[in-house]
Amino acid sequence: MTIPFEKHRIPTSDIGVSGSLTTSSASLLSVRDLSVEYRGERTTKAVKNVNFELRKGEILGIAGESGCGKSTLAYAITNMLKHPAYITSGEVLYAQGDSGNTVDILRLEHEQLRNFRWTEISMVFQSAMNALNPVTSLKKQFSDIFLAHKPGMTKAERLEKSIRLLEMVGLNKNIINQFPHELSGGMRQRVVIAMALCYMPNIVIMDEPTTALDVVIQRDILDEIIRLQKELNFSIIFITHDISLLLEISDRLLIMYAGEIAEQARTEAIVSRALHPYTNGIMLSIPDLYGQRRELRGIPGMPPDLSLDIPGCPFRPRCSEAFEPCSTWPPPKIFVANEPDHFVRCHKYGSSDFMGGA
Amino acid sequence: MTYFARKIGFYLLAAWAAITIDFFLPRLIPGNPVEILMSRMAQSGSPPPGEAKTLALLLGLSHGNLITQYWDYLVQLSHLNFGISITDFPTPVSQIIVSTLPWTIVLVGTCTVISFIVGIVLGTIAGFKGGKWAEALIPSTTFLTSLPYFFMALLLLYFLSYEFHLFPLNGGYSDSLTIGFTGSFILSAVYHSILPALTIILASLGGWLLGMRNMVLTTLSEDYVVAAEARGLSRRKIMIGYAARNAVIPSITGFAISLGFVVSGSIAMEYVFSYPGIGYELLQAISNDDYALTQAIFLIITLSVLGANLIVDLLYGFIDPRTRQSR
Amino acid sequence: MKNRDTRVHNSVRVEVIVKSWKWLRRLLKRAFRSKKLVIGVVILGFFVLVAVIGPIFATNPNGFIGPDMASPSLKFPLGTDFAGQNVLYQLIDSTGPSLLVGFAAGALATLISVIIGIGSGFVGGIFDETATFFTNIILVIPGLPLVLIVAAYVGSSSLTPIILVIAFTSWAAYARVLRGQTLSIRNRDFILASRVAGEKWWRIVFVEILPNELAIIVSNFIFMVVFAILTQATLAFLGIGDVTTLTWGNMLYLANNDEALTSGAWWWFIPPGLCIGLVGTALAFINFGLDEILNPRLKISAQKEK
Repeated sequence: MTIPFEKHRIPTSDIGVSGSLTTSSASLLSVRDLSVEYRGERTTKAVKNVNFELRKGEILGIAGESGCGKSTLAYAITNMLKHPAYITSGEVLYAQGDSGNTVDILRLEHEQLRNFRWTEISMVFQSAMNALNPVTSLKKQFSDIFLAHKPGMTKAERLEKSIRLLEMVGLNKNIINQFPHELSGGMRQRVVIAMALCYMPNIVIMDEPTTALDVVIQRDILDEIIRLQKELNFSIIFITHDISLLLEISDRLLIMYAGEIAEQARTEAIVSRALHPYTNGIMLSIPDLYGQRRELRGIPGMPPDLSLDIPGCPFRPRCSEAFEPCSTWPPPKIFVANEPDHFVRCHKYGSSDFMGGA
Repeated sequence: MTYFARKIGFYLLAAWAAITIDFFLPRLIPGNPVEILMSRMAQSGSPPPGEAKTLALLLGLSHGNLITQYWDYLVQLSHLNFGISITDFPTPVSQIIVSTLPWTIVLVGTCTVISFIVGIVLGTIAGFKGGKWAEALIPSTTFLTSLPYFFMALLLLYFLSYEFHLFPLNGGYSDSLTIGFTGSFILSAVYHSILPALTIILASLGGWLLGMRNMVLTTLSEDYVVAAEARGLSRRKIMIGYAARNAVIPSITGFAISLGFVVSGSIAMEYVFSYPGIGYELLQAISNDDYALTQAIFLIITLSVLGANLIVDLLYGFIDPRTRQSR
Repeated sequence: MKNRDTRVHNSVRVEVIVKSWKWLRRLLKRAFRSKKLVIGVVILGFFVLVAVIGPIFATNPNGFIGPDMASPSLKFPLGTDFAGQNVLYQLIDSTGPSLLVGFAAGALATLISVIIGIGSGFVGGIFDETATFFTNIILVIPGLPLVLIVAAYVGSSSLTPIILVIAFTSWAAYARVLRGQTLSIRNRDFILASRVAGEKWWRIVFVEILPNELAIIVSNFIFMVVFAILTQATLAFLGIGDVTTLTWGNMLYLANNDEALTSGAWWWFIPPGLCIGLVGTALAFINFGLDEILNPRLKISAQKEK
């Protein structure tokens, strides 16, 4: 289950180039202060005041243990949450087209929302094996997508476009008449990716797209995703618990812990200088193929119960570097001066909002 | 293709099993059924020559060992000669079946289809839309399904026929008419069948509805339904093409059991309304110790139910593509 | 020394009692959260209570004590039937036998379905093939016509044959469910592990498989009780089987035969029918309630308000 991340092992020299926090390329999606809770007998705060940006053509990785809120975040961004999950604050601003107009996805309703979905943002689900309707043919399911947004397309056009999409993801066009159960797991996953690209959306959210597949197929699918992304230049939010995979493909990384972003940085920065003890912990859990042997260890302990109020830092019980303020004050968000949009939420680096250079 | 072949093969074996059960049934009768029948026929008139032999063959009580008796019985069945009824002496049993079976098949068949469709549609809406009215539907439909068919029939009869004189008290058509494809006869038959039909529909609707509602709720959290929503499909499309289409499958696989309930209930219902169907005839045959008629009706009811189940199983092959290639 | 031992023993015992009391309270607390379960248990409990202590009050239900076909009054809360018998007393005395048939036939049918279902799923091979084929045949052959004929031919003046006939014709559907479940459990890791470890087969069945299927078995049992009550009522209504024991179906048979409908005596035939319906609803509610507790998805939608 290891994927070499050789290119990032080379020390990068761009640390400390710029002190500016403004983004170099245009921001496509901007998530502001997003919070989600699950209401039940006890309210669970699954996502807490999350902020991040997604830029045009980048791959943004979101990593974290299961239950850290990463999938909930994905569903919240597309306004897909249902009872008992509720968005309690925040907005998700999407820059529409070249006009510079932004829309808040969370405020879209009914038809607007329905039309927005898939044409602007599409998704590849956690268990793509089950994301296909088991009782209808692929042709029908492609057709459903086209009819939902472009009812004017003729039958021939729909068929032709479906076949083009299948071929684009490396599948034989003959499978168009088959049913999901007749395909292998890898083929099904390719079909799901082809479906996500029906309208060439600007953003594709991928939630554990390779987890259910076996290792060899995982590699193929990952290569396919990278190839398509390079060719078509869409942005990807790639969610997984497997950080080694993200180190290889993503441009920037968000490390989530207990519903919050513990650290955000460009991937190179995480490789060369991860700041949060949690990030360091999961980095250490990756076996190193090229470096020297080293002790492989996970992080002891369990993530906290999000239905309880956590004073201080949620990672404190598992943190080997915890000290006095960690149990009382929520850690401040500290920006790293010389690394563009690198921030960490940890007491270790002081209490002011900025920390000194490297 | 193998799926269809397997199903047809299974139902042929089931039919053989039913025929064999039918062969053994008369052995439960105390005394010698052939003698009992013959002496009772003698009281009503003169039985045709050879009737004693026909009955013995039919009831599987001819001379010889069990295998010879079984063979004789099968030969007798293949000639479709079921003997003479003493309930309606001297009408041949086959003629009674021909005159009663259509009443039941048309009534039960139509009502089952109506009740299935209405139940599936309401169950889909209740599961998909949820809300207060759907929740209120559960206790009332549960109560409705807990009432025996015959009690439902008594209630309808009492309130709609005795109290308000809206419908006839019993029978399948007005006594003043002769059976035939005339407008007035068909009208009268439909009028007489409204309460029996209402009984079957009211009593069986709830089962389809509740089953469908629960399955829709289960499918709504399936990944393909969530994915369909993310793809921006319309609610209508998701409800029918994705949620209901998959949720209906267990209702169809459970059809045999449900049909068993409907058939059982209809026998008691026909009794309440004195409806001229095969269920009422069966009860009369049983109470008159008309063994030949009883045996023939059991076989016919069972084979009709098997036929209905076969049709549904074949349809199921089209609805769920996964069955067609399995094994 | 001995004294101390008992003290330790006692404290352990107290702890066990406290623990099991806490466990029971948690269980009850969870159960009480399901409104359906509570309603079902209350209604069923009422009928069981009537069945047990009712006959003490409802003495001599067959006595000809009142005017014929009297409508409900203070003296006869549910009126009288065509022979001047007290309908309320008959209703009370019918409760026990009606429930008895349901629970006895339900229990027997459950037992058969457990043996055939778990047996064929666990043993597999030719036994499984035969049992499955047999089960499927029973499943597609309609039960009531067969039950009617057998009950009529056999004839009896007690409820026992009816219980047997109902049980032996109604187990098939649930045997199929249990077989499927057993097949899926049989191949799970913990069962495979205990097989490798050389556990005795009966230990695997009773300690590992059976407890895992308990929820399904209980639910099947409840449905079969409802089915048996309905079937017995139908048979009795049609005058087949035991016509001497007072049951709700039997009351309806007499009411229908003695022109309760034409004489407008609703108090005679409506109460027994309602009792059957209420018991059925109560049992169904208990099942829904258990399902809600065990299958949270249904509950979530029950809370959903749109």
